[in-house]
Amino acid sequence: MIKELLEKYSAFVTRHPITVLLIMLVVSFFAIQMAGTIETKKSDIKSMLPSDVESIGTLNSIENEFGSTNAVFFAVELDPQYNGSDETRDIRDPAVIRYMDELSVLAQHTDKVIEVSSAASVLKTINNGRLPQSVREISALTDKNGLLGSYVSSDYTLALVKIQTTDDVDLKALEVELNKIIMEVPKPPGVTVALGGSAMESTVMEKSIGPDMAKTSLYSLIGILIIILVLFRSIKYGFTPMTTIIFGTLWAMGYIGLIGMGLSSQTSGVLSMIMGIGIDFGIQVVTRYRFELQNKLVPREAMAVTLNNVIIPMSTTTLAALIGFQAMSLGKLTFLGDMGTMMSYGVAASMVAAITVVPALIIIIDTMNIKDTYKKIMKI
Amino acid sequence: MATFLEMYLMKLAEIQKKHTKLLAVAVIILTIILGIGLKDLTINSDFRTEMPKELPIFQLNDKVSAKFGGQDAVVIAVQIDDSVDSKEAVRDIRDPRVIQSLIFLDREFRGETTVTSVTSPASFFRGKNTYSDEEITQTLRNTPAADAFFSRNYKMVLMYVAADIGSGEDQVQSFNKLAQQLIDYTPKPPGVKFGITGQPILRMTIFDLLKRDAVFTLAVAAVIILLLLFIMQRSYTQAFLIFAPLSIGLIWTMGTLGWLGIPLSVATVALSSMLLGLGVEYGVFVLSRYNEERAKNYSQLDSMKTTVYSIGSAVIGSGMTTIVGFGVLSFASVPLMQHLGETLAMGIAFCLLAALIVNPVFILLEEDYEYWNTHRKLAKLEAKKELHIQRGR
Repeated sequence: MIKELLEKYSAFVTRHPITVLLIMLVVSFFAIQMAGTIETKKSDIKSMLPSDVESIGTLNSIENEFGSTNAVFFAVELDPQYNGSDETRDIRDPAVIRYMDELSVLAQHTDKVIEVSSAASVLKTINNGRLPQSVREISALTDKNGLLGSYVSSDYTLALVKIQTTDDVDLKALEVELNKIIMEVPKPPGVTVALGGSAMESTVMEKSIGPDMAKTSLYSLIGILIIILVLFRSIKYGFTPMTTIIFGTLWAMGYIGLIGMGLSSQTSGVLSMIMGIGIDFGIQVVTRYRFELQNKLVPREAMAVTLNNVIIPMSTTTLAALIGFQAMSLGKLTFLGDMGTMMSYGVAASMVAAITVVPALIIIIDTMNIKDTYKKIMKI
Repeated sequence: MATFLEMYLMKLAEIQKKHTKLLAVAVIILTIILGIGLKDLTINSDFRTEMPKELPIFQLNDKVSAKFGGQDAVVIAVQIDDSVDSKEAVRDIRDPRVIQSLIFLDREFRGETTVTSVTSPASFFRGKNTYSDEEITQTLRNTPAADAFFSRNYKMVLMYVAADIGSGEDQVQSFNKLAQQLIDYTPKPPGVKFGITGQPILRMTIFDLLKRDAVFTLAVAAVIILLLLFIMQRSYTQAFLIFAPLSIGLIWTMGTLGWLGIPLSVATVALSSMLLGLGVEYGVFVLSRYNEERAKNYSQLDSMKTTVYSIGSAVIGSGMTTIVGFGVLSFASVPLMQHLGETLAMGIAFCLLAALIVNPVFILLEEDYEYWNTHRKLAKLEAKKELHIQRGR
């Protein structure tokens, strides 16, 4: 029964290649629209950890009780430029403490910021709301209880202004606002300030998703094209299998856009991987087709034999690949789960492209007299 | 190049037919040698090694962690246990009995050489050996800075323990054990529970999960793929003929990782399941083509030559493109993607080698065995038949 179905299908594709191609082009047009809606998303490592594990459960409880653990801070660091100058040499210098106080006040007024704490806020609370005026006074106030330990490094070269935000904060907007504050508040001489925190890492990584994806997929496309051209030693048969990955990745991306799956730094390499795997299907079809042509078959017959023989092994390999990818999501840690899912879509789409677009294109190219067609079109 | 390649593939098929047993022995020896590397395969649970550390934000955060002990900070959360129904149970986390527990734990932790700092409400009670409940209540009331350690609804209080643990999994494990022991020894009032988290604890959790996931995903993928092969090939032998070389390719890959000292990480934990899923393709094509040729009644040598020559170049082409697709991830800015791409590219190369070298050898061995076994059985039956004829009915 399967054999009959395959024969019917291959007969249809070889007899109506233009219809098949047109249907696939319509699907592709829709996929282009959907692929345009794909958004990048930040990599939230915490959400990928299983919450039923005790230490992770405790972390979640802390977040529930104390609010978001989105860690953002201003790092104020000593950076004296000249020997013997009057630049700050101790981060507990009252001028630096005042500077941190100003940063804290402005940061507190930023949207989605819940709380700002720093050495300045600690000193104020233990000194009746007043900032101490000397390092000695600061030492006297804090040496015993070690309260500054969370805000000032033990070598007194680095201090933190910790900013606690709500869960729904837009980190990109927050980064812009906090950088504005850094630019606005005049720094004491000999110190530098930078924006840090684990939450900011994901923002920076999110920025690299687009360029990374463009770079790796371009390199992948070029590398694959070179290999295929060398393998087939033919421009026509070199470029034809490339349609497998062009259409396959396009459909996969369209579907990803349709279901609203965003791209993260973990999935930024997915395009190049889909290309590397998906091209296999195109290669198998073209290789077998050329082999059958050598057996003195005409293009339509050669393609029919090809499709009859490659679809079953290709289905097996596609299913096996999908199993391998889906197994990635079965672990307790699901860092690469999204990537596995996307690759499943890509491989399945490439397989479909290899048994629709590729044979249709080959039949059109090998049976159509391009000169005559061109003349007919010109006449029209 | 392709002619050159095809010529060598033909020669390879001839060698495989001529020296089947010798090649099988060579494969077994190579598998044993590379397989020894499996015992050195380690797991890296440190997330930071998979991040782009050359970026300024990562350098700054690492510096902050180094100066404040953030990476090695353990957080102990003491929270009200609402499930305890007792008059004596703590109902406000500022209860002096809870603070006494924290003072005890604070002293114990500060007595450890690896611990660099301990901060909690107990930090305000370091002058004397003992504090009365009244003194504790009074001190907390007069110290607004202590509020930072309590949740707004006074159901939870935190203690931060910074330590110089080091990066080894063993050191992290022994520190975690120590922290857990100290918590266990601490006298606790009824109605509170102690939880422990933080980077070292999470690392150990991830380490355990990685170990479990690596085995689990491999087992699931292997079982399902093998079942799929049974169904598609409709023969246990044929399914194993595809699966066995694939498993060998996997052993080569993991063994090489062990020999090279490349640990499994969050990026590569699912490597085995992916390789099984992707590598099976080559074996399927080789076997189906060989069967196709044998069905036309061509000899073993001719069938193998056609298979290795026609499928070999296609399989090499598709394997190379997959290697390129994964290999280009080395150019990604995130090490997680780089490591995944590099290890997968290596794995695919091994699976490809296994399909081209091991698969034909196994196919020929199985056929030879089948041939020998059938003839042996036939000879036995023949002898039995002779006996029956001699004896008569």
